[in-house]
Amino acid sequence: MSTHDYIIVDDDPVNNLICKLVIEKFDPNGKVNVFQQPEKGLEFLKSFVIDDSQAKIVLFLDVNMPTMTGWDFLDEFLKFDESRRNLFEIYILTSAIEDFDPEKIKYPMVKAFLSKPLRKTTLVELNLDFSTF
Amino acid sequence: MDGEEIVGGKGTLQDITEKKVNFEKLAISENRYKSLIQSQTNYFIRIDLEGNLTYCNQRYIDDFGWLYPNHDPIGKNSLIDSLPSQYEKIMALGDKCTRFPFKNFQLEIDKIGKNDTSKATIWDIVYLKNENGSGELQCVGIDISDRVKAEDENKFQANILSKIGQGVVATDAEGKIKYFNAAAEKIYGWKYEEVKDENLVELMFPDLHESDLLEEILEKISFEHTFSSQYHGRKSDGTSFPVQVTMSGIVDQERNLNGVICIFSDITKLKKSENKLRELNKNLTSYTNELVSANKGLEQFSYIVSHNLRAPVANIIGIAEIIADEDIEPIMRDKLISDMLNNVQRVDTVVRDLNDILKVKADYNNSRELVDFQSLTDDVLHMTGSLISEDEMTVDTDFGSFPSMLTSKSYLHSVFYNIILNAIKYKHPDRELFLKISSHSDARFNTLTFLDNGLGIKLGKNKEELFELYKRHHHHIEGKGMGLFMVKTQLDLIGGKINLESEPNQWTKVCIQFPNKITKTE
Repeated sequence: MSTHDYIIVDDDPVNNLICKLVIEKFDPNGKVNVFQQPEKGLEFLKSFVIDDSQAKIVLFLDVNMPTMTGWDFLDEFLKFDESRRNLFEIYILTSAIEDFDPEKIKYPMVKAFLSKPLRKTTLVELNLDFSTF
Repeated sequence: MDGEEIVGGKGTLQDITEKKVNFEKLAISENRYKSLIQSQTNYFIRIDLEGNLTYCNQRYIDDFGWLYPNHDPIGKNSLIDSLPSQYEKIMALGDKCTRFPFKNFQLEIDKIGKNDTSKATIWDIVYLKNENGSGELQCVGIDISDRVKAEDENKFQANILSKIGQGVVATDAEGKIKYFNAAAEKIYGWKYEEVKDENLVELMFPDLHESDLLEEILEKISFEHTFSSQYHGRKSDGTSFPVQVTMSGIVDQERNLNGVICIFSDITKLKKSENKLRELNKNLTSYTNELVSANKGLEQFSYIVSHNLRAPVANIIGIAEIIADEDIEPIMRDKLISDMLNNVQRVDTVVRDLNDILKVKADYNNSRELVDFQSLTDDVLHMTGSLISEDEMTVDTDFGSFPSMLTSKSYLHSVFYNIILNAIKYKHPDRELFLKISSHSDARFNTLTFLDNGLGIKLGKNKEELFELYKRHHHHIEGKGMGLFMVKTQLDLIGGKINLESEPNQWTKVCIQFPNKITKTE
């Protein structure tokens, strides 16, 4: 069984630890990459080497971060080639209790808006797609 | 014919002829006289000493004949056609006339008119006394009911003019006062006799007199327009009061302005209530602004709740769920418990911060004192002294031209503290911190400027976010995004505005401005 890649972008280290533990519990073969600074996460996405057998990568993205918000992150992400964009399955993971309706329309590539904390049951419900692209 | 001697019958004939001629002459003359009397629009009657009519002309019969039996006044008492209230004075005058024959007397008599009306008449009466001692009263009268009506109308109008509450003044073409009603006397405190022939505008509307408007107004009203405006009136005691004036011209057919009619009222009360209304409106606006700002506060509160309470709470829930799982390594369990406690601490901090913010607003009591910028700076540097060693920081101040201002000392202290603290916190790691604080005052603003050579900040599109609560702009430095928010909140309360400019890695400049009117030093 091949490993699945997960990326977490959030400036809150505690949330990142929770995510890592929950994902590892959910998917023991999962490989979790944590970025506390969104700029570094973006760099990783940009330089990720794609090979033919690469399965989709699941990205959990926070919104409220000091130097670059989740929306700024997505604006940069939209500048990627389509082939690279298709590589990622993006979820917004936020502690906010707003409904983000305008953003849902503006960023249709976001698969779902999730409320913190990330739970194993949530991951099961997501029915994550790890097909090769 | 005189001097001709004529015999007998001939003479008689002549005599008769002459008589006849004379008689004819007389008849013609009398006919003329009669027709003259009959065609008169005047009444013409004669009354004997019994008071009975011996003659009346057609005009009299037309107007009063109906009051007499058989429509024939002749031989009837002439009092019949007068109102009973008039009897006494008629009889009295009759007596007087008979005592002074051939002397003309005049008398106004109210007679009975048709349809339950009365008819005002005026009579010239003379007693024509015959040689034999008898005589008749000859009376010539005219119907003056139209004149009386017009007089009544005039009296009524004059009465209205004097009774109405608005001042009415009329002038001649030169602006000299020719009419001044009771209300005008009351409003201005002048008596008509005192202002008669005075110039209206000069005396009572000094500001209009001094303006060039008067010509324009006169031009306007000479074309039968009315002109209405508000001026300051000047009372007899010299005091000034607001007055609403409407002017119209008295214009003849050749469009010459023969005078001006001015109607005015004292609008002191109106002005007062207008001012009150304006004040209420102003208050309303300020309440609205307060509400808007309160609403913003609520929005901010919602933001705080969502990001700053919800985040640690989510972490606590997440950790709790993980450690509930028994197969977790003890070291990891300890770390999670420690993280959980940290997050509980975060919740506590946010709640305390919220309390502090609410307190700042609640504590604001408008007490102002003269705050000296240099000693304020010294105080703050003393407080921050432990955060940075002396050789890493130089503070240069220049408050020479504007050393102090009247404001809330505790707020301005907090403003200085937070800005200086930021300069220290965001010091460039590779160089000594240089901070220059200066003050400047001009006609419009009093300005305080803080310039440092620290890390600076990249200002994006959301410059205003700098001053929002819990917005942080640097990763690596501890901070919870309270400082600039507090600065802005406090400046809002003392009427200041804050602006921040920066060049990343070079400098940061914070400017605080107060509109000059509220900060004048004494």
